[in-house]
Amino acid sequence: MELMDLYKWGLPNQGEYLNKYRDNESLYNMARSLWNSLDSESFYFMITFIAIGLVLVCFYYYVYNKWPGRKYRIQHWALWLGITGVVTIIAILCLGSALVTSNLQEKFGFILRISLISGIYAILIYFVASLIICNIPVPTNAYRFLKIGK
Amino acid sequence: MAKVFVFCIGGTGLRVMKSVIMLTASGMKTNGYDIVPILLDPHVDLEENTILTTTIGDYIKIYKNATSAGRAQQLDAPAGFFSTKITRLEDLDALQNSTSTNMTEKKSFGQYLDVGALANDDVNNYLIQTIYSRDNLKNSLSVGFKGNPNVGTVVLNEMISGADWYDAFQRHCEKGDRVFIISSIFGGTGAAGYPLLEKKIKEDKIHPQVQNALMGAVTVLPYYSLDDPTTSGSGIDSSNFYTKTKAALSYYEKSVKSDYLYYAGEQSLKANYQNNEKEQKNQAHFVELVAASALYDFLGRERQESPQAMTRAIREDADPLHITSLGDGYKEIVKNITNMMLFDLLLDILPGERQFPLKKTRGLNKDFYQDQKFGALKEFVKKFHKWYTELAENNRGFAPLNRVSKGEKLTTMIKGLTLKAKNESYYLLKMIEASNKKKVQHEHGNRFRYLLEFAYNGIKEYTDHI
Repeated sequence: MELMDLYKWGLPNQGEYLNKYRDNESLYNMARSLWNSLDSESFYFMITFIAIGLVLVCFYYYVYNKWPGRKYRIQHWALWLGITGVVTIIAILCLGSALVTSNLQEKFGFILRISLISGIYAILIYFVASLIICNIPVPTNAYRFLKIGK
Repeated sequence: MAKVFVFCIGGTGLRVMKSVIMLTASGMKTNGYDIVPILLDPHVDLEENTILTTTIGDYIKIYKNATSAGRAQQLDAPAGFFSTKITRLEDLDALQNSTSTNMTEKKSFGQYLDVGALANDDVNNYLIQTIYSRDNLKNSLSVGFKGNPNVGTVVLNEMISGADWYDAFQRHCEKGDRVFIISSIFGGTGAAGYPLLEKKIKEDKIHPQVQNALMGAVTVLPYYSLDDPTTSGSGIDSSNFYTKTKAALSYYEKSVKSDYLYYAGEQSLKANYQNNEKEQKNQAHFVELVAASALYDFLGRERQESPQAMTRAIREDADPLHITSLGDGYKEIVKNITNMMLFDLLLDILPGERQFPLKKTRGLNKDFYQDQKFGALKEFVKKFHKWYTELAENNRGFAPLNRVSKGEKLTTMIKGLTLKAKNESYYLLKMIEASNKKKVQHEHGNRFRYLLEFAYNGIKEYTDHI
């Protein structure tokens, strides 16, 4: 599986997209270059959403919950879930804009879609990591609402 | 474990004992001594007597709940709240009767002396009429001695001599145990009972462990007045309190031999109560708190070569008293009362904290909060709150704390002192952290104990500097 496969479900089909420019070789090459660039940078996108998801879930359970103000409540967990998604989207938007070079108009649209998809993945990582943390005997001040069983 | 037998004589003795129970519940240290309260009051119908007996029973239940871990396994005493074991004398010795059994007779003092059997010209009849007034002889013993120590001396002497409970005390008083007597000097029961009981103990040659027990006593000087007896129809006249006190003091000076004798009193009769000897619904008073604190002081002291007379002052003559006007000697008391008041607040909050982490990790869930054990604890702590409110509202008031309730700012809870915890969430967080620490030691599965310990540890994080 190629890394770009992670984002395929939220992007147009590569063949259909490139076919739009088959009559113009210059544009076709630019489109292919853009697609290849996205594909090659997707590794960094993946690293970014994984890192953000894990860092923020750890921050929530082991740092944020050391502060007073009933941070153990689920609403705070949900807040950090949302923050994880938003931070990931912004981070990948910035990263994508910096790493992917193309003059095609579609560039921003693609990066935005990849950012949104990455945000969803980061949220999933946050959730899965929460599930693990809630079920391992490592002390946290947070409420282990995802704990399975008693 | 060494014991301290605390004899509480008369109405004031009972009220001081209530303060002892409340302070002990809040975590005042007894230097490792278990407390054995012995309530001596002929006025068995007195509501205060019933309330105190119930309160002691509630304390004992809470202590048992905190120290049992199933399958007859016993845990050490908890640190902090309810850390001292209190045992009733009847629990030590199942054979003896209630301490007040002998006094519950609905007889008048005259009937008790069998004055009717004496011939009119009998010299004993003349003697009795010289020592006792007609009112004295008509007084029903079931409501106490109405401020007449000359009546109390006779009745109490016989009451102690033939009582099963006194035999039980003699049997269970062991080497290293101590005796503490709480009484007032301006009434009837306490003023008569203290020297009598002390003499009985000090002269008990058959039981050397009783005779040699280190003995402390606190005698409460007049601190309240009563409504004019001519309007209330009562047999007690508080204008005689000082005269009686002087007479008793001159007697005590030569006769009492306690190792430590504490005097607790007021400058004037600041509080005024309804003159109703049947009900005596007096509010808790600062002087009773001071008298109660004498017990803890006594338990931290060693035997001296000669009897020691002790008293306790306040820094400023203020009303109500705050932490600064009380002086440094009261900081421990203020700290413990603050802890308990914060605990009361947490007990109100916790059942509504549906996402509190200890629900998952320590089982502090809905079932736990609906359990009778938690209910009994909450009820006791409510009594504590009421007791403190009475202290704060009485004259002179003991009011080092501001009133706080759910959601309010807690930094100014203690007047003249700032706490770092801004609201209850600070304490809840420290509770969670306390639970996360020392995990192995806490694996006893007693949820009630978890609550007591973690709440105490959490609270003291912010109040230890007081």
